[in-house]
Amino acid sequence: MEWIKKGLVFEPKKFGDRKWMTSFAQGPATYITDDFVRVYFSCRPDADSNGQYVSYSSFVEFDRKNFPEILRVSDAPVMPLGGLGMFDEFGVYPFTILKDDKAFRAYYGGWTRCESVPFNVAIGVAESHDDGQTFERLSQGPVLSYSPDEPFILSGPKIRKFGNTYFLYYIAGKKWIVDQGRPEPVYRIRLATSEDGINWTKHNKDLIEVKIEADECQASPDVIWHNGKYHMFFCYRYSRNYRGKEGGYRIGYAVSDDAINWTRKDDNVGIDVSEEGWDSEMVSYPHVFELDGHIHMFYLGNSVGREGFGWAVLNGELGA
Amino acid sequence: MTLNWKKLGKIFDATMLMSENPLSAAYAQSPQALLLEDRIRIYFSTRLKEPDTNKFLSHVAFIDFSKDLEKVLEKNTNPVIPLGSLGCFDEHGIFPFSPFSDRGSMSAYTCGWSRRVSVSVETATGLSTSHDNGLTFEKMGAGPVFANDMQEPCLVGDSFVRYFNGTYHMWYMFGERWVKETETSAPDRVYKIGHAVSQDGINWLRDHKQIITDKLHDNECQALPSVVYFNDLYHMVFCYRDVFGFRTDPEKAYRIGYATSQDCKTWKRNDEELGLSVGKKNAWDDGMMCYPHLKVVDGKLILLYNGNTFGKEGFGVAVLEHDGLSYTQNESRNWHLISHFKSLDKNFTNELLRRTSIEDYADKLISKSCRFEVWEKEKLIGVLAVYFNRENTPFVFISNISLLSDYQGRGIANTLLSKLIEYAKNSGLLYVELEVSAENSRAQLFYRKLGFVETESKTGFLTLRLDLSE
Repeated sequence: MEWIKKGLVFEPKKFGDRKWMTSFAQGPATYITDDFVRVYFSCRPDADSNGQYVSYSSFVEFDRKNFPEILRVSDAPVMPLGGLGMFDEFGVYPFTILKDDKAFRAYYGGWTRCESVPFNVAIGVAESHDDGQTFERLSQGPVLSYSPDEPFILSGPKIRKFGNTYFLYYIAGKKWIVDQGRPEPVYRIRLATSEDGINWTKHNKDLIEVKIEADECQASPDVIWHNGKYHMFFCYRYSRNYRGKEGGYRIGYAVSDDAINWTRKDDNVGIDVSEEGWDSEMVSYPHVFELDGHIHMFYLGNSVGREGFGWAVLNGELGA
Repeated sequence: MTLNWKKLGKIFDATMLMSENPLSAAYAQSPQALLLEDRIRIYFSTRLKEPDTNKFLSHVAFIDFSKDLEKVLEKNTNPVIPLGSLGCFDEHGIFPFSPFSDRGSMSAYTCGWSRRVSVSVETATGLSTSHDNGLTFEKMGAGPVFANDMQEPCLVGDSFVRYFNGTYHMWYMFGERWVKETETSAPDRVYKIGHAVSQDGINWLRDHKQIITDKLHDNECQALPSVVYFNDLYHMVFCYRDVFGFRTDPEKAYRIGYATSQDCKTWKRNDEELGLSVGKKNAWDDGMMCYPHLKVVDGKLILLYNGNTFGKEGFGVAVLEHDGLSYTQNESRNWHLISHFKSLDKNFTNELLRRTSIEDYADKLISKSCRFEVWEKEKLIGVLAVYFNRENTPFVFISNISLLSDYQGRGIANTLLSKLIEYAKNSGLLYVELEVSAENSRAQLFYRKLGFVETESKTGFLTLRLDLSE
């Protein structure tokens, strides 16, 4: 495959009047109508006096007929953070949506802060009654929580529906390591399925075999069905020294016949860091979608989306 | 009907741990008993200081007592189970530790603690198994077996599991919310008692409701449920306290609560009927009673608990004063059954030994059956062992009913069977079935009187069935 890069299409700093959107536009996910391509993303207000962030989810709407012209940006976060002591008190990120005949639902990573490690994440579910402009959490507690083989960090959810079954791709933490005195998480891509979007059966296995090291960290399992096959674009990085080019995220690719068993084929992904510019050190959090006869990708660059998200168009066939 | 307890006082002084280990902060919280053949092993959580944080870590230890609880046989502060590693749900403590030895394995449900920032902690339930008769336990995984879900958002823990009527039951605590007394107070937690069932002890179906009514108000905190089946009733003890001020004001501190149930589903709270109140002035339990645990020891019911200062000073026990027979469920262990079978009259054992050994049969009953026991003075005098089959056409199969000859002719077997039949009818089982030797006319007569009819005969055996569906 070959992706033609088109540059940054959304920069949060241009919307600085929105105090919750000072920086970052992470985990893009699309909702496409006849008129617009709405992209949900997660952003942050200024760090607090301790240098710590919270994360909110918002959206930007691009004109479908004049893509990527921006029609509007949400006036507020799509939902508030969780209450005192709840699993999502410090962040709603990332945000993935699915509209079907039953409901317009979102699944999200809910963030809390811990003492011995910086954070923990579990997955929540919310519903919209205004066609996706705002969402209400369905419960105070998470829809997907920890289990014997998934001890912490359940995050990065991506919701899909194939046939009558809901597929929730997500990441599950394996262990925390300490690198130069700093706890760093190791996590892998996993899957749960459901008939109702509320009661989930975990498959309890890593979907993508590791490539670069035993502690490889994988994220953003973005799946699209096209021409009889399921295609996953994801990202992966080293567990240590990953905040720069050498160890930072790259985008990977895997293919499947059944959406459950995957064969990794990174050689075929067709997108890498640029020589220079906003995506010269790392590329990550891909989201692939079909629009008006072409396959598109939104993705993040340096500092994992601090400056915004960018766009690329596929030259040729998915998986070719 | 108020229970009649005899308090034996504090039986373990935890402050002595401090003289053995400079890092010990004492504490022997949530004493929970495991019955072994020659002793009672009481597990508890003790605290060690964490040097760099000035906080504490709760570790699991145990003390072995003689069966009459008068003598300490052995103390073990070696690690029974390690705390969780970095970032895990039980990294900062395990408290309580609840042993479950039935169904052929020795397991423990643990409550793991991990520290948070905006509130002090989060908890979840872990599962572990012992392969060395209760000295050490290995975890099922790094993560919890039972944690928060949509309706139970935080602080899931204090899991207590028993096998009743063919199903695993768990009673546990779940958090409802965190609240602040004033703008600047540290948050306090509010938690209630819940219930769940399982076919395997691992995958649970929750009732998703508070099963014990509040006595104080909406923000009453309820914890540490412990349930036993004793003399035709399910008894639960738990502890409850006010949400604020409970550390300093004895009026708001933990007390032991009590509820009963006929069916493990609905509970009627009546704290006064427990018949236990705080000790007299200056007693070790004069300001607080908490973390209670009910256990049947050779047919005798005991209540372990902590007193003042949340168990910093140790734990104590009360024993139920009770004359006559005790009826229990799944409290018998292998050695009880073996000794019981060996004491039966020869006709019974001869028939048993034709098919299997006494030891193998006892193992099988412990692993697979549901046992209704009758005890007198620490002796197992009668056992009804059944298998519940809940798939497709649900029924119950009677594997064994035996009574020591001295206790026959008093209607005890009839009582056991009638209760089983009543339970089976009320819970939608379609029939009760058993096999009896073709030569055993006495047994056949006994069952026919109860309405059983012959449905099948094989070489040497008849199948008798009582149809419950009319």
